[in-house]
Amino acid sequence: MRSGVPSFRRRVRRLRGWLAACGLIVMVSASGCVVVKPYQRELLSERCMAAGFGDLLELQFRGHWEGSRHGSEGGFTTAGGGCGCN
Amino acid sequence: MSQNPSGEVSFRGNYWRDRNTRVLNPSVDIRQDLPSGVSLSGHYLLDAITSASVAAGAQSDMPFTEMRHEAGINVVVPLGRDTKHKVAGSYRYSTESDYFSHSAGLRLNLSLFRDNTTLLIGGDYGHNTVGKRLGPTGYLLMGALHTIHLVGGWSQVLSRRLLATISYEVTINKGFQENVYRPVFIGAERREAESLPDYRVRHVVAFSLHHMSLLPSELVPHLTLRPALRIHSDCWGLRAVQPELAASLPIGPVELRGMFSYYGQSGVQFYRAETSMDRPGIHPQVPIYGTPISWDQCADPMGDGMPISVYTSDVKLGTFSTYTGELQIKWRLSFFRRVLGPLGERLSRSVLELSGGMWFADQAVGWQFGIPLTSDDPYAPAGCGTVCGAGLANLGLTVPL
Repeated sequence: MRSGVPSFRRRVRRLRGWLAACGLIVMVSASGCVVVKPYQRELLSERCMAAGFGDLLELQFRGHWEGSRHGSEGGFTTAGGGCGCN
Repeated sequence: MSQNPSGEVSFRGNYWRDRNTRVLNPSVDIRQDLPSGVSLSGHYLLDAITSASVAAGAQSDMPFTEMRHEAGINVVVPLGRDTKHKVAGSYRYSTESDYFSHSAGLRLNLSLFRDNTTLLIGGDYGHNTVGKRLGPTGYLLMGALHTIHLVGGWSQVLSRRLLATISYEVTINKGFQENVYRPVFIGAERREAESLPDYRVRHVVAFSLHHMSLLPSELVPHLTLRPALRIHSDCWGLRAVQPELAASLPIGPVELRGMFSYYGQSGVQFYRAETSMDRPGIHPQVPIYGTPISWDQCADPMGDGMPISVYTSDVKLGTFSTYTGELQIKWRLSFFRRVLGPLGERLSRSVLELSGGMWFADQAVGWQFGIPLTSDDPYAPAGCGTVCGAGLANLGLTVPL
């Protein structure tokens, strides 16, 4: 039953490394050369450009119910747990 | 939908229904911003969980309802008048008949390079007391669980319509992590509760983009897409990936949102489904052990390092995948502006929201609280067979203060 697990783990590990490296490269590069001035931020200040489309309560709730139904937890930058729903 | 600048109160009702569990989750959240820039908020929520699972605490197959109350406060303070740096503190208390939790956290938000870069650094500490119900009012103290959660995040403006965010979280759990109502079969023996390591370190890397496309219409001005990926790993051997795509589309006073998410997980190293033992009435994927696992990995650095016997029947620690789809509509009640005078003006800034979705799992994780005991139905009393699903819905109203 678990014969496919090691390859899955290897893929996840490789993907994680590539993603982190690419993300960091893009963001470090961007932070040095992209400056959007305050008067150009009209679209960036829309609520839909914020985390969770601006609804942090929904994000917290989703983190809560996913944490009680998946084996992992987190990824929404909010603390999980706080209940006996494991 | 723009946020109400001075403050708002939100009423929400969330609903979850799967084959053996129903969750009703009403909540109220209130936020008030002060002239000094300080923002205060508080919330209360109720989790009413009704389950037919014996492992959830029911004494028989009769449904059992558990109530959880949670209240919390959050304070955000700007660090100076000419800066957008902020520090936030929060506290949350949760109580149910057999589980009591205190949690406190701090967040520091730094806004750099003309607000093009935002850094987040934070941490939370949780103290949980775990009990086992003894009748309608009493409980037996089983142990304590300490949690430390650290988070770092970086949001970067990449253009006038593109934003990237990357975050890393680590959570350290130390203490009692078992579900005391979850029995486990070891060979022919039925143990009353699982046994888990008392130390666990979890890591999550999350990456997301927000991209806004402008549309040639005043009624539908733009479409925002949010692809995201979360990668989980922990020292019990669990690995998981979770890509998702979400979209937001405003149409006049209405905003439509959609989200689809996939979650794939490989089980922890000590999870066993030793199906060679044929037990009538029990689904083949049910965790069953020939013998307990002797576990000496992921040891608590403050502990004695001695191996312990572990066994679990928590299917959430096994290998499975889930799929979640959700649609949401938010409607700003702007038509009130023409009626009811000042009250109508306030109500016109209110937002009514309605959402619905489905959650599917490709193994029996929907029956999350325990294992089927005996039944003629191999999927009973609460299993989902090879695929199970659940419905979720939400109704909410946000009113400005």
